[in-house]
Amino acid sequence: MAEHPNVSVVRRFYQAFISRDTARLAQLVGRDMEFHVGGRSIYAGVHRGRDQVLKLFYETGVVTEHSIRIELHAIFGNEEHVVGLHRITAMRADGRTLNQHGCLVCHVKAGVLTDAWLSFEDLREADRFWR
Amino acid sequence: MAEHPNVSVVRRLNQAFISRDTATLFQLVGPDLTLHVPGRSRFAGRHQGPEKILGVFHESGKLAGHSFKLTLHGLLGGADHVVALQHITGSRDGRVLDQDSGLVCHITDGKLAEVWVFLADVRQFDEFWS
Repeated sequence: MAEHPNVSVVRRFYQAFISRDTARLAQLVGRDMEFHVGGRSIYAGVHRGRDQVLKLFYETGVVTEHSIRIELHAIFGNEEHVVGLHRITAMRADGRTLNQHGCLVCHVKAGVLTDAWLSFEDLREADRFWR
Repeated sequence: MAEHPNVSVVRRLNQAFISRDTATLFQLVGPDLTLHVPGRSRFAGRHQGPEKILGVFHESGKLAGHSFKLTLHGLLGGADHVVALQHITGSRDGRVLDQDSGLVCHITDGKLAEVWVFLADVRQFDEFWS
């Protein structure tokens, strides 16, 4: 069964994020995208617009000294939603580590992500990591 | 496109949960059903076995005075995983539960085998049940 085109978009988004292909990421993030981060860390909440979303990716990359690794475990979806299940690992300079399952729920329209909701298996640990 | 049978299992479970149809719930879960609840509330952790898990639902229903409501937003998946996207609300002694949640499910032989609960705000969830 062929993959739903929306699923392919999110798959390419994951691949671009993993390979740190910023140009590709910018193409897949909608101009008015809203990226919702779960929990209560400084990054929690809504990041509105392509620039803010890309800034979020850039800043989280900097504070983790580019140690974020994403392993896509499963991805599936339909016209309305695409869900990615992944493992995320990362380290901070002071020794804090992140290693857990995450879940990304996306809305896709006309080949770009328009909304995404990111959650973590253990939101408190994620909050402590991102602070 | 026809719905994957595993997605239908979770859809029927959701309907049975909402209508408190225990008989149907029991038909759709496997003998070793495992439920993982995040956070630090009395319900946090790993629960195993249909009776035990039904007990969790029963207790949470009592605590929330049956104000607990679940609205299904989306249901998707296939052979390996099914994800239910839902909004959960409830009120209890002035404490409010109002957030998005996701259930990641494994289905084995047409029955629910394992479920992981994802939350948008675990602290609100924990405070609600405290």
